[in-house]
Amino acid sequence: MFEHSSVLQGLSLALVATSLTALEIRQLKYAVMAYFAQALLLAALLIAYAALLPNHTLYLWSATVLVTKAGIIPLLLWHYLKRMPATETPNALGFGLSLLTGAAVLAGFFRLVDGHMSWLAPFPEIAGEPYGTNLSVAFTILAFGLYGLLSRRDALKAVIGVCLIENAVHLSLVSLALSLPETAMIGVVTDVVLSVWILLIIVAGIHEKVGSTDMREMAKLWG
Amino acid sequence: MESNSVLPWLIIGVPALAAGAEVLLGRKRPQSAGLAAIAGVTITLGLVLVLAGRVVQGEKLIAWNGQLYADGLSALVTLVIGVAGLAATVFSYRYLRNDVAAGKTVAERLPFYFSLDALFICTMLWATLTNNLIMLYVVVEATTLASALLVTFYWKRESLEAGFKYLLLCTVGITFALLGCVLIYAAASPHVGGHQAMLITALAPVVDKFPRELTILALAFLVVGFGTKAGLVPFHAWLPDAYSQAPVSFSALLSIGIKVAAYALARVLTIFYPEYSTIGLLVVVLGMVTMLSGIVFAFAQDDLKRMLAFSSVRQIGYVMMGLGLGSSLGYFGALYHFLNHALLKAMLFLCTGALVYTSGTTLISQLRGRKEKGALTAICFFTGALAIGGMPPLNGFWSKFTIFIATAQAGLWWATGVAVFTSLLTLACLVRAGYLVFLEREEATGEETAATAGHGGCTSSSPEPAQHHPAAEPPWSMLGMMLALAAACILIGLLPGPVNRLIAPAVQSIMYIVAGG
Repeated sequence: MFEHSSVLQGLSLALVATSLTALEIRQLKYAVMAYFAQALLLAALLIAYAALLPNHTLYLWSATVLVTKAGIIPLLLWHYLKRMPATETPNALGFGLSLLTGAAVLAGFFRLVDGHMSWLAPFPEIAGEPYGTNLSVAFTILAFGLYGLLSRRDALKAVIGVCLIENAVHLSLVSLALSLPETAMIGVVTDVVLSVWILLIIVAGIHEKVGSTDMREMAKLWG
Repeated sequence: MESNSVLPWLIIGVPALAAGAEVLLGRKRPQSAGLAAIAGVTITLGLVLVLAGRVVQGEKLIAWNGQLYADGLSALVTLVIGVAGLAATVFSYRYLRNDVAAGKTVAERLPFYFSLDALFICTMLWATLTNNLIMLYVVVEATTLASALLVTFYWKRESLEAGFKYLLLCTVGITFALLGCVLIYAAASPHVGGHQAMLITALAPVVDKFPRELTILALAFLVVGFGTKAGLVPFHAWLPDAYSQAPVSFSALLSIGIKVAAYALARVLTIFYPEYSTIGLLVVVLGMVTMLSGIVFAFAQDDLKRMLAFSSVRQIGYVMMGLGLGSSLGYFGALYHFLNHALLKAMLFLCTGALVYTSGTTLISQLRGRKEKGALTAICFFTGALAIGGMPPLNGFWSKFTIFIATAQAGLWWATGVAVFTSLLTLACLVRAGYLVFLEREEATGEETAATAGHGGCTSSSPEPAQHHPAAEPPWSMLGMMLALAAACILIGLLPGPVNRLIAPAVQSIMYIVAGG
């Protein structure tokens, strides 16, 4: 049990670290690689939960993650990346300050969620381990993805932010919806893959018309 | 009485097949684009009418082990989607060919348009027929996915921006709805067990056993999630851009899309009202803020499409206000307004489409004093403007009046005051727009037109010169749809009896599920 817990905690920490890298790293191809690494970690984490709980459905979930989030989505990102500038449009904060702020957002939110786990858990068993860590990490990555959406100027980084949010929700399902049938799970991941694909098609179109993926530059409408 | 039926499957399947047929036929015969979609949506409307006929008589149709479920509420919404879907698709047939002639798009893209149009209708219908909480998220998101590339259809800088904003905001928003749905599912699992916990109809009897804080969080997520897609303020930023950049014929359908999200919200939230009455009050307040913001922004618009988009924001505010009250009169007013607004707004967008067809623009400053506008288009527009502004005896008056009475009955006089005030401003805003576009004389406007063209508008609608305005009235396939919708609106206002027979079962369905089935 102890070993399992440390594996889970290690994988969860690595998951959080890849979120920070995917969002903060300026070279877009490394950001995509960080996202790819996160998807692999997510698949590994699901296998770890499958062995610990034990629950065989999670092996299937892990396979689904491998195909979609570690397969199709990184390939799509990689494909469209070739048409974009190599480096993201810088945001208002410099690299160092942005990295520090990102890390602070992650740490702060993790503390906040972890401290209120009994409040967030739908029933008391979920508040304990291993679900507690799982939910805390999921909500932390979710909040970080949202922070990324609000703080980035680059449209491709916004898409990566959406991917992080979707990963977080997927992770939270381990605690919240373990008995979710495969049909519903397929529906959910299909939506995610299609939304990322269509977003990328539109971002490529914007790059073609505007010559940039800077969201401020393309903003011509009032909203 | 519940009975198994294949009808829900057929209603979802036929437009999906039509979408596939458009893709296949479009490769060989792009010139016939639209015919398969029109045929598919016509058959779907026929099926929806059969479904509504059975449901109104008290039957509840289920399929796929209860995963698909049609009651009075579903029947009302599917009927709205069917009618508006057919009107918008038939209208698109000639409208888009005019766009091709004007050089805005190419003929090879038309099968793509009609395929996604049919798919959008399919996903909206699925959303209204699903009884599965998680699938509700899946299909509401699918409506966004099916429509995003139609918002960007013209592939211009502005339409791409609008499409990006639409897809990004709605996807992130709806992910919160997924979290909300999952939290509710997690809370229901120990009490209902297995896959039953995902069935919306199975939730009501166990709502009181859910942990309170968690449920409030889940409901807040649902309001943010489905509220973003429904265009509730402050989550509405995508809406005016998407409406104004999409082809006008599709804007008419998009205005139905936001109502599907409002339906999703109504379907899930109402179950929680008996235990969580404050949620209802929150929805009333959100509805009020939404309607006020909608009218404030609407007056500043020079683009008719954006003005109508803000009008949609406002009318969704009325629907939410009625739904938030939690009383049967409130539900009745909300659903009545839901129906009226869907038909009226679809018609007003089609009128705007007719103006684009004849004059090549939707900017009021450019339309003023121009002569290419037809009398029938003007009549339809004014009917819509007066009805949506709440002028008796048109349909919009009765539904708004019901909402006013319901809010007053609930003791929320401040809400009644805001609703009446907004209604008067709506009337002023749209009638003024109609006057400027259709009635103002040319001599009086020459100088003003030049002056207003430079400011007061937005850059969203391309002010193309009217290079292609073949006739004062659009062709009959377009005009017929506008007139049919206008006639429906007038008849609903003058003869509310038959419509009441449709809305009353919808209200009863909500009450039935809330009461625990």
